[in-house]
Formats: sequence, C-alpha cells, structure tokens
Amino acid sequence: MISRTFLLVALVAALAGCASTPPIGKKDLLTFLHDGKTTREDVMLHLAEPSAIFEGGRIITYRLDEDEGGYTIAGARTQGWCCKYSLVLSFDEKGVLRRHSLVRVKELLQ
Amino acid sequence: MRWVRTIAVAGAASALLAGCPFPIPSGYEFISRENVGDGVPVFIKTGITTREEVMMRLGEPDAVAVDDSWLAYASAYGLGGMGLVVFAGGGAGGVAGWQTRYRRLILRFDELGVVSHPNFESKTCTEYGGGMGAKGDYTKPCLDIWGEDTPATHGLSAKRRW
Repeated sequence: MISRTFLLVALVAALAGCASTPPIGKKDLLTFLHDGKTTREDVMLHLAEPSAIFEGGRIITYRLDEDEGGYTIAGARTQGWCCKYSLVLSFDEKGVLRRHSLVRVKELLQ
Repeated sequence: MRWVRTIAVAGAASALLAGCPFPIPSGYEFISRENVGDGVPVFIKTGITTREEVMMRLGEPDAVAVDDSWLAYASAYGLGGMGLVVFAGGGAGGVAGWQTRYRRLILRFDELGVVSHPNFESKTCTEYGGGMGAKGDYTKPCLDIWGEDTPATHGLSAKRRW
C-alpha cells in the first residue's frame, strides 16, 4: 500500500514538472476599442498606464504579449522588446480614439 | 598496473583542460525588435508621411527625442558564431565569437510632425566575449540600437529618458 502511494506521489510530482503555466491572456482584451467612440479615459481604465506617450498625449502606446488565452499587457517599460506587439492609439483633440493599430514587432510570421 | 593509472589521470586531465566547442545559432537578439527591414520603408515619403503614420506601421520606437523631433527603430540579428567552454582547475570559463547585423532607422520630423530626413544605417560586425567564473567581458556593439549616440552622431536633440 505504501509503495503504491509512493508511486502515485512520484507520478504526480513527475507530471507536475511537465505542466506548463496556464494561459493568462484575454482574447477580448482589445474588443472595446472603437475608432470614433472610445475615449482616452476608457483606454486608461481598460489597459492602465501606457508604455509611452507622444505628441503631448495625442499618441499613446502599449506593449502586449500573447499566449493561448489571448493578449496580455506588459508591465513597466524596459529597454528592449519583451513582447510580440505594440499597440498604437491616436486621439483627436477631444480625447476620442481616432485610429489604432496593433503592430507585430517580434516573432514575425513569415 | 601503474601505467593504467597514469593513462587514466592523463585522460582525465586532458578532458578537463580541453575546451568543448559549441555553435552559436543565428537569430534576433532576445531584446531586439524584428520589424526593421533593409532600408527606409517604402511607405515613408519625405514631406508626406506623418509621425502618426510611421508609428501605426512600425509601432513604438526604440528611441525618441525629448521633443519628439526624431524617432529611431533598430534591430540586432545574430548571424551565428562559435564558442568554447573550458573546464580547468575546478572552475569553468568560455570564449565566443559571433557576427551581428545591426539595423537602425532614424526619422527626423518637422514642426508639423512630417518626416523631413529619413536615415537608414546597417552594420555587420564580429564580436567577441569571454569570461572565467563570475568575471567576463564582451566587445561593444558597432551600432547602438538604443540610440544613445544618436544626438551626438547625427546632431539631433537629446534622447528622451523613459
């Protein structure tokens, strides 16, 4: 009985070593973005602080990665590219999203 | 049987002193972006293309001026090389040599945010590195992909600190 329990524990431990991290991405992370409708405040509420700001806030960018679950927002900006995507958003003078683009910067599809 | 021990000791010493060569595969450096092509992209037209359009196509730049007057996009692609790991005296060390191709696109903008001076640079250089224990060093890249030198070498305004 002891040896069977031991084998079971050993098997579970061995399989746990093979387990991968569960996906944390969200497929619908960016579905709230609508040109001409979404405001800068909406973007900040959904995606938090951008990784960079240009032209006094008219253009903002985020760094995104992707796993099986969908997109994830990268943490604080670091020198060098951590992530697959750069999300670029431009706003009009009223702070409404004018245009956005999800640019693939790493692991480009050939 | 003394000769057996002598051969065993000599063999062990040779194995410890001999270096183990290993190939360095080609590929982009881990922290490098991969969407910088060879030359100024065809969509960029001097006097026409805006900063916004550039960013919509290429993404967030790697370096930018404090006043947004220039942006830089750069990449570093390793072309492969060879390394040698050496075990000796209870420690380990290694040396390696490899080639890296650097690309850097620097775009200057006028006061309206339109491209005024596109500039593309590419350099391929052989680099070396080595170390023993916790100490090591490597050659400086022949092109700085973070654009630290850009203000001085291109006469541009200061680089923004993020």
